[in-house]
Amino acid sequence: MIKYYLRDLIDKKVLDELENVVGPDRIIYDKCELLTYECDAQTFFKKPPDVVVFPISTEEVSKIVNICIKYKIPFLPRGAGTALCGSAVAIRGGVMLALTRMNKVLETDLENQRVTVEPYVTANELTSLLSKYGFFYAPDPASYIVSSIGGNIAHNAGGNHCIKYGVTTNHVVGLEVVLPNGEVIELGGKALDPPGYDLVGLMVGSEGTLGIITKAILRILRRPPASAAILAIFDSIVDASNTVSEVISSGITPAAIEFMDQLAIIAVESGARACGLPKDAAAILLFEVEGYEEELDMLGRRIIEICEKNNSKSVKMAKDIDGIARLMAGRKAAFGSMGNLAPAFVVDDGTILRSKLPEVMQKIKEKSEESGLKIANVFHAGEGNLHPLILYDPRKKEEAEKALKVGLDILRLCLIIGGTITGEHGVGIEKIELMPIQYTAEELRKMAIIKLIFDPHILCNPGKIIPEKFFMEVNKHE
Amino acid sequence: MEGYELGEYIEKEILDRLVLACIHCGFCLQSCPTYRVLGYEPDSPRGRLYLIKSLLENRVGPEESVLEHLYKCIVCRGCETACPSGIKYGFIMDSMRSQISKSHEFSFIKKLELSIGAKFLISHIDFLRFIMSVIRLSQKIGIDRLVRHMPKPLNELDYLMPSLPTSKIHYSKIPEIIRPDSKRRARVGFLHGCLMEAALPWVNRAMIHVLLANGYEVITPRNQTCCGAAPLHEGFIEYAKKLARRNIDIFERADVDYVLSSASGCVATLKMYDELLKNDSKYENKAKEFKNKVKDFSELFFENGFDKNFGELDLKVTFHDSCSLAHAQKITKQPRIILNSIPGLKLVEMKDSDLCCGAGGLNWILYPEITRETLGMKLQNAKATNASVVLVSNIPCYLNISRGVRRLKLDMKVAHYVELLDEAYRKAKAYSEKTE
Repeated sequence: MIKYYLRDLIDKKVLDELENVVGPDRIIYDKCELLTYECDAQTFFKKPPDVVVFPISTEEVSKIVNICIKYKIPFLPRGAGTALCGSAVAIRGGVMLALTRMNKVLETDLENQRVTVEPYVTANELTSLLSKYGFFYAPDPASYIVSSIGGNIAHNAGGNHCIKYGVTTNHVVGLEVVLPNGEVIELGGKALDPPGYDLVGLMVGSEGTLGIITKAILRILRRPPASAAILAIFDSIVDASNTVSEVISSGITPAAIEFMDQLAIIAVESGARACGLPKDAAAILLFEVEGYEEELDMLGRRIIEICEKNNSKSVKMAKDIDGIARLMAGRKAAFGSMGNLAPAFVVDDGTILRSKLPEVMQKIKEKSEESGLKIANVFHAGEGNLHPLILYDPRKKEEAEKALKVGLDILRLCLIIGGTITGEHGVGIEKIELMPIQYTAEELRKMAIIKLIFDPHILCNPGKIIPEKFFMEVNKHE
Repeated sequence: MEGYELGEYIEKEILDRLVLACIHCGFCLQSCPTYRVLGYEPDSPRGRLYLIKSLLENRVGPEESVLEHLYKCIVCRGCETACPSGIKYGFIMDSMRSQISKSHEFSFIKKLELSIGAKFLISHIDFLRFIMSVIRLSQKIGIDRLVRHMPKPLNELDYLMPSLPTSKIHYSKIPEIIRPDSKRRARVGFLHGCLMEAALPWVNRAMIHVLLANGYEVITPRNQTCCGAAPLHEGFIEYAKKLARRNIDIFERADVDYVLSSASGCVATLKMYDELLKNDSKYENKAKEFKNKVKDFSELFFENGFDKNFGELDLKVTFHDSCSLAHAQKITKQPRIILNSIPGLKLVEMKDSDLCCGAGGLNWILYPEITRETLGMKLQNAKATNASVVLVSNIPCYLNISRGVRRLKLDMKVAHYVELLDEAYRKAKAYSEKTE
């Protein structure tokens, strides 16, 4: 039932039709150039698309999708290509719609705290545009200086600050989507809480499998008057983990609680984003608190007390904007800094209950010793959203496969103790085999039914999220 | 398909390791001017490194569709500043191009463009100077405006036509030794540069004046030559090495404490001499010694202190971080601190001040469409500050931004920041002379 024509080679006729839509300058089909599109920020799963097109309008996106449907060619959207799960890899070949030319902020409506953007605007760009009015866009994944908001929405991205502000879905109120049948649909709108089924919510986190986002209406927030960062240094990972739980249960909601272990610190401190973290510490916690100037000291003092109680050997508070920004930038660059330690890594982002942190950290350490692979840990401790970075050398085939396996094992562990397999990076190709463990077969069949309503031929970003066999089961039932 | 045999500039093994450090995170994307304009992965730093990696792994051959992207790179090195893994992108690109130019047959036109731009002009400074005086003469008569209406790509030549600050057409040669009025602080060897001395001679004069005002003796050795930036970045490494050796000898003979140039691009290249001549047994140590003497002007002033007796300049300015200063030398704070010590001067930061204006290398003539776009972004950001002067520290940005200003008839001037320092010193002096 799933049939892909022209799987590896798109014939001249299709190319001509695509070229008619975008013109000769906005299409790539040279074999060498296509190689650069064969993977996203993970480099394990690779497959170049057959052609990349660069639409500049919703209309063009819709026309391209229609051509794909006509010839039954798989297609998928790509933003900055910073996904960590292979969701932007054309695993079945076909047409890739690179949305890099759709990068305008269309409307800034401060009165109603809404902005309307095209998909390739970055969160950083949006926030710096809004900062002069005293507003900001809250979701800030570590890649926020380069990743596209379209991609952030497709993966329901989190970030350092989601403990306080929630994840991307809490900030998307409306979408314009080109559905897999070529139809353009507007979902939601500027107003909050529309009745009926939450179709905007359905699109958020769908990893480009239910359509291509061409416009988004986002909620923006007023920037808090002041903020401060607290850096706590620990000699033991368990102490640091316990501190996280105790801070939260004491009733404080920091804007961020970030955890970095020694290996992650060394990676950052060896690169261009070094921010003065101690390389000899077993772990550090980085807190950010926000509010009025007057309350920051009080909040800070309480956090410092808790850190000290849990054997932190040094706790410092920074209130200058540059100091805070430097620390946060160092944390955000942690993934990118891994190149200082190894040529590649697998990162998994299982989410667990905070209270289980010490236990899981211990298990990860055991996994590392068992497999002989180095594992760096840097994560959003506030939400219990882990990011073990398993380092490997891609030139050694067995090592790469081992790294992937260790990653999946850690995720299984997260599932066993009541967590999930991904907090923010998405399922993509990487975690698809864990979906039947995360969900019951019935849940997955329901998801397959939803996918088929939008995309009956399974052309829109195929091979992601839902294992193929569930589509077949659905079809058998019919 | 043969893999690339590297050995000249750096070993293949080292290049392998440098390229492998790229873990594909994409943090470089927004810092890349060609990616910002085109949005194509093969024209991003990450994409180019991926192509180089594919070349080294023999997954692709040196085909036109690969090389084009490697040559489209401006080598602004903005990505080096952005890269959390500290990849030496400029180094990788220079060595790759050197390999390519050795083993690949370019089209005749491309070869001609590269040779004229990267080899001929820079080694014939007098010829370059002659061209520039013809251009200036044409500016005086007013026929330069015709250039803009010439067919592509000749219309891009307005790049070479900076407006003159004065009516002066002829600048006499810089004397070999100029001594300061006050007590000598140190001897500075001055590299006047090729395009700088031909196109913007007044910047060199301003820098010399500022150095003298601070008690430095300025030695401008005869027979000095181009720093080698153009041949180095365009793949003629052997030629660049030849120039480097000559400069090292000449400045060694001049017995100077420091080596300076008014163009931050030249300084950045001088600072690479030790890497360039690493495997040259005769020059290896000399190059290291030479490199230690090379300072950017702002570094020298910042480290040794400077005369703060400036006159008042009632100006609103904005600072464009020239790539050769911000990315190649990682200098961004020093010039700002120096400028902020001029009374009356208001420095307003522009958005993306360290994003390349697109003028680097020969891109302004080889890929004019891209340069036009990057220049457009730069001008828009500069305009938004309402500053009356855009300050730069290198020649290509000076030329590029000033032609943009001319084309759009903006109410804005372009200057090397040393020109402002010079003006501030002159004002202070004029004032004290008056009161004496």
